[in-house]
Parts: sequence; structure tokens; C-alpha cells
Amino acid sequence: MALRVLVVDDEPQIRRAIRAGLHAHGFEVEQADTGEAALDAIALNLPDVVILDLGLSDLNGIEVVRQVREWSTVPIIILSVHGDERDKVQALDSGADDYVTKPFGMGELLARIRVALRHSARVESQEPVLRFGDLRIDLPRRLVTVAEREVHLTPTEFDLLTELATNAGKVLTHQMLLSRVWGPASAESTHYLRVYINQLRNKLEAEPTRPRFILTEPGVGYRFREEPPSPSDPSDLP
Amino acid sequence: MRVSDLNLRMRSISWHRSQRALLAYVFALLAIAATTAVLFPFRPDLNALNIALIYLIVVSAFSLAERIGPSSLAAVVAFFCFDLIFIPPYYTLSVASSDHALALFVFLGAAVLVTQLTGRARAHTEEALRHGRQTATLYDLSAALIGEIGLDATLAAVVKRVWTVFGLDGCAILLDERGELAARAVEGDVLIGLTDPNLLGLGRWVLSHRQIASLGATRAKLRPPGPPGQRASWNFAFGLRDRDVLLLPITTKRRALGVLVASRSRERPRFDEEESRLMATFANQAALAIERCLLTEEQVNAEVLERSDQLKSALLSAVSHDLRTPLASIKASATSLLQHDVSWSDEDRDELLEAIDEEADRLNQFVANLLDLTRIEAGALQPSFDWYDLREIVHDAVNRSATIRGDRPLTLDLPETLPPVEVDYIEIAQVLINVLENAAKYSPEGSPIALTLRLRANEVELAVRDEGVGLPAGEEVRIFDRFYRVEARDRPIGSGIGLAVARGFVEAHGGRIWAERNEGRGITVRLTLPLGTHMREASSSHSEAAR
Repeated sequence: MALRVLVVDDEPQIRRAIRAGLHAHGFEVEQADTGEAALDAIALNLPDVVILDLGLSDLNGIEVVRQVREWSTVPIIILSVHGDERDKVQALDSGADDYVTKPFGMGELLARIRVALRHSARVESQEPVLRFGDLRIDLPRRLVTVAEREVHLTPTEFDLLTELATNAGKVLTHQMLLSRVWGPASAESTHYLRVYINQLRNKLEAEPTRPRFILTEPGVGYRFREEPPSPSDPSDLP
Repeated sequence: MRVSDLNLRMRSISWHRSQRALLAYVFALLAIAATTAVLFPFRPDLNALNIALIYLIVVSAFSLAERIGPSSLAAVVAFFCFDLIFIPPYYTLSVASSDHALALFVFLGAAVLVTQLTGRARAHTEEALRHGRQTATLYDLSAALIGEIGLDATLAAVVKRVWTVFGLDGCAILLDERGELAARAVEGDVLIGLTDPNLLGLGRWVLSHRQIASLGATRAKLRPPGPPGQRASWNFAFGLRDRDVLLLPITTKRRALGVLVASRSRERPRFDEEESRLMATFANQAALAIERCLLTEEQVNAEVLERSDQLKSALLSAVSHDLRTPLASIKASATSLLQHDVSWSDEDRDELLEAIDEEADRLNQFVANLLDLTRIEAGALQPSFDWYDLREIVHDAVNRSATIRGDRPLTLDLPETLPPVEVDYIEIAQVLINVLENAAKYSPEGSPIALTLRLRANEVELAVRDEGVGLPAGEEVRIFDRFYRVEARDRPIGSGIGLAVARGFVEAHGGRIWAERNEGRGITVRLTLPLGTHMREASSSHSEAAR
């Protein structure tokens, strides 16, 4: 059966474009133009993924996320606009899974949908060994290698890497990373996070200022790249 | 003359005037009595003419020191003393000899003449003195007003001056704002009744009739207006009831501006005519100063309007060019693809689709810059500062500007080690993208661009060097003005927004941005970002502003 996507946006042109793009990839697309209609549609039709515009005319998108999260774990991908980083962070911390900034390419949206669907499907069945290009993370043995060469990580570095890598492809806010790795009491200490991210990059990346694995999402958090380019790939590195 | 001295003098003049006048009459009597007592023992030896001369000297001396009233009294009393005590038969008014009668009337005539002359001279002197005082006070006021630029400062200066000079309890200026009188400057703490509808009504009357009105003072000229039957209805708020209040119009020939309200406690002397005249002169000075301020404000407003008009047309021309070009390209490509009677080769189709994609990106970039510029202009920037490795931002910006840069080779010169810098990632990336885009726009295909990052003592310096069309001398600063464009040979290329946004962002980071003309070709845009704690302050002040 085709996967069902609910597209919530008050602009018909956006809904039309997304519907056409997703339909071509085999999704079944439903539409809603208000927050209330979206809440009804989610309760009634139980879609597999929700694409939600933050700037709805009736309910604030963040409020929609909160209400949905009270009873559903359906993946929610936020549509946002330039300059709305604070809203993005708020929506993500309220339970949204990811975001795309308007205007976006269909490829980007599809990638986000796939990642969100995969993470919602394999919550239970975690692979013991993760592979990303030449990076290998052995979770039970807490062993990390890059190009067959072992990398020594401190326990906190390893926990941080695990948190990022098990959510590969998905954006993680500063607050999420801090509270999951250091505990809820540390949610404000972003400078810890910056220091550890730098250490991880220095140990894993060939060029730490042109990271292949741990990408900065400015103003929001970090994203672990699912399919990192090989270190010598010239197409992605200037 | 200093205001405080003048104030003291004015107060003592009004305060002691009546008592002093009374004392002068007593002195007149005493002086003549003393003269008579001194002369009395010599009555047998002195001839009447000599005695008359001595009395005359005393009366003259007295009239030099005192006003015409007491002097005249001295003259008359001296006349009677002379007649009664020194002219035989003694102690009667009758005169025995014609010589004595002549002496008596010569004395009277001379005394009257002397007192009149000195009295007139005195009046002239006093008038001159008063004029001098007024001139000094007004000079003082106008000197104080010249320095004031804003309307509120001017009003405050006037009110303060009037309050001090006239020894008032309270003083205020009510300005006419669209038909309503509203207090704009207040000095002293007793003008509780400033919003009293009766006072405001009287104020409007004063303004429309351009006449002085007074409450409390009994002089006919200063009485509140209206027929006698209505006068009882001037019931004033408590704060005004137990004091004398003077209302003066503040007007110029062209317009009625407002009302000067002065109030003084009943325990103090009432406003006299001289004071109200002087205060009216103050009001006139105030009127001139206020009008000057209003005219300046109007002129500034007109200039702002004119400038915003210029801005609007510059914006329109920028928008029409930078929006239309990508739109036209998108429209042309999309409609081409929609033509079903043409069978496109894969290559052609991809080219059209890529054009649509790239032009949409360009549009997006332009709209984002336009929004950023609006936020900068509105002072609504809220950078979210965090510590980043600038090299990461440089790489990101370089990646994202790859399309615009085309085949212009880029060399990066970044230091091996660099401390983290506290910046807003998105804003600084945008700055670099805009500067790189500017370099690409104004240089021919294939010409090199170089980006250098240098660590200085307490800042980081980024430089982007191109070998493009360059800049006319003297335009190094202007290129960061919004809507500024270098006139290229055929047409302006950019919208004049990118570098303005770059400057806005860099300055919000406490940095500087400027351009230099290269020795050979093209320009180098340099910008600095401060290192260390400086940003922490900026960050907290920004977040406070956001709150």
C-alpha cells in the first residue's frame, strides 16, 4: 500500500507543487489548509507522515505540533521560511522531526521524508554496527574506525557521536543533544556541545572546517550526514 | 546679570515696595523736624533768607534720594515749619514783612521746582533701569534659547526661565495641538489644575483673542473674560483656587501656538502690570523660538519624505530589475517546456530546467537580501550569537556561491589555527556570499577571486579581492550604501542591496567593512569581526532589546 502524506499549507500553489512532486514518487497525498483541518485529518486518516507549514492562518504550526504529539508519533516535517530559526527550534523541540526551508527542492523534501519514515519505523530495531562511508561505529563494543583506523573517543564523545549517528539524516537541536548526552540539567550549556563537536570533528574529519559527517545547521543544531561524500570527492568540496 | 540676582531684586522690589513707600513719608517728616530742631536755637541770629536756603538744601537733598511724593511732603512741611517757627509773628501763618513774604514764596517756588525736576529725572532713571533689567532678562532668555534645538528643550528652557525670574510657584506652556491645549512643559509642582476644563477654556479664549487673562488679581485689565454673570462659573480645581494665575498668549503673526500659564501663591505679591508686560515679552520670545523649532521640524519631515521618495524609486528600480530578470527567464523556460508540439532533446530540456532552478535560487537570494535590508533599516536585527569556527562559515559561503561565481577561479587563504569567533552563522555566511557575489558580478568570466582570512590582535580580518571593473576614486565607501550601483559600461549589474546588507550585518557584529581599490584591477572588500568578550556584550544587549 502506498504511503500516505498529509500536506498542511494555506497556499494552494505550494500544496499543488508538493502533491505533484510526491505523487510522482508513489506517495498518496492528502491536503489540509488550516491547523484545525490538519488535526482532524491526522486523527481521522492516520497519515504516515505530515508536512506542516509553520505560518498557518488559524493555529500556530508549533501549537499543531504540540497537540499532535499529545497522542501521536507520526513524523512531522516543518516548512519554514528564511530567518525563522527560533520558530524552527521551537517546533523541533516541541516534537517535530525535521524541517525544510522555503523555497526548497523536491529532492531535499523527499530526503527528509525518507529519513523521518525510516526513523519512525526502526525505533526498536537498532543495528549494532553503523556504517557511513569509511566511518564505522560499533555500538556494543564502543569502537569507532575511520578508513579502518581506530579513533579513540572519550565516553562523552562516543555518546555524542552515537546520538548523532543513530539519528543520521535528521536534524538534532542543541537542546536535544545536550539533554540526551549530558542530561536534562545541561540543556542550556551550548558551549559544552560546541567544544565536543569540535573535538569529534578533529578526530573524525579529514578537514574539520569542511565536515563530511557532522554538519552545522546554523542557529538550530547539527545533522549527521547519512551518505557522506568520500574524502576525495571534488563535487562537494570546493 | 544673572537670573538669580535679578530674581532676588525683582522679588525684593515687589515685596518691600509698599512698606518702603510708607517709610519714605515718615523720613520726610523726620528730616524736616530734625532740620527745624537744629535751626531753632539760631533763630535770633539767622536771617529768614538763610533759613529758607538751608531748608531748600534739605528738601533738595531729600528729593534726590526719594520719590516725588515724599519729596513734595518734605517741601510742604518745610514751608509750614519755616512760616510758623522762623517768620515773625512766630507760631502763626501770617507774615508781617513783605521781605519775609518774598522769602517764603521764593522758598516754596524753589522747593516745588527742585522736587519736580529731581522727580522727573528719577522717573527717567527708573524707567531706564527697568528697561535695562528687561533687556538683560530677555537677552538671557534668547541666549539660552539659541542653544536649544528640540521643541521640548526650548519649551523647558522658557518655562524654567519664567519660573525663576518671576519667582513663580508654577509655570507651564500649553501648546495648541489640533485644537486641544496640552501641557508640553511644566516647572514647579503646584499646577494641579492644568487639565481643568475651565482653565483650558480660558486658555483657548486667551489664544483666540490674543489677550492676557488673569485669575485672582483684581486689576480690571487682568480680569477673566466674559460677562459679569458668567464670572461665577469659573470654578477652578483646588490647585488653582488659592493662587494668582496669569495666562498669556504665545503667538506670532502667522499662527497661535499656545498659552503660557504662570501661577503664584496668594501669600506673595500679586502680578502687577509691569510683570505681566515683561512676561508677555517672554511669551513673545518663546513664540519665536517655538515657531523656529516647528519650522525646523517641518523642514526635517519634508526632507525625510523626500529622501524616502528617492529610496522608494531606487527600490522600485532595483526590484523591477532583479525580480523581473529571473522571472522572465523562468517564465520563458517553463512555457518552452509546456509546448507539446516540440520534442525537446534531453540536453535542451535539462538546460531549461536548470535555468528555472537557478533563477529561482537567484530570486530567493534577492528576496532574502531585501528582507534582511528591511530588518537592518528597521533596527530589528536580532543576531543569535554563538561561537563558530569562521573557516567553516567561509567554506559554507564559498559552496553556496558556487553557481554565481561560475568559472571564476577562487583561491582560499585560511590560517591553520583560528580561535572560535562569536557570530550569527547565518548572517556572516550571508555577508560572505554577498561580497563574493559582488566580486563575481563585477568581474569578467575567468578572472580570479581571492578570499583571505587573517587573525589580527583582537579581530579577524576577511578580504575578498577581485580583478573586475573596479571603482571610481572616492566611491570606496559609497558602494555600501543601499541601492548604490557602479555604472558599468552598458548597464548596472547589481541591485545595490547585497553590500548594504553586508555592512548592516557586519556592523551589528561590532565589525567594520570597507573597500579598497587595487593597484592593478578591481577592488578588495575587507571586513573585520572582533574577537573575544566584546561580542558577549553585543549579544546580551541585543537579546535585551529583543525582550
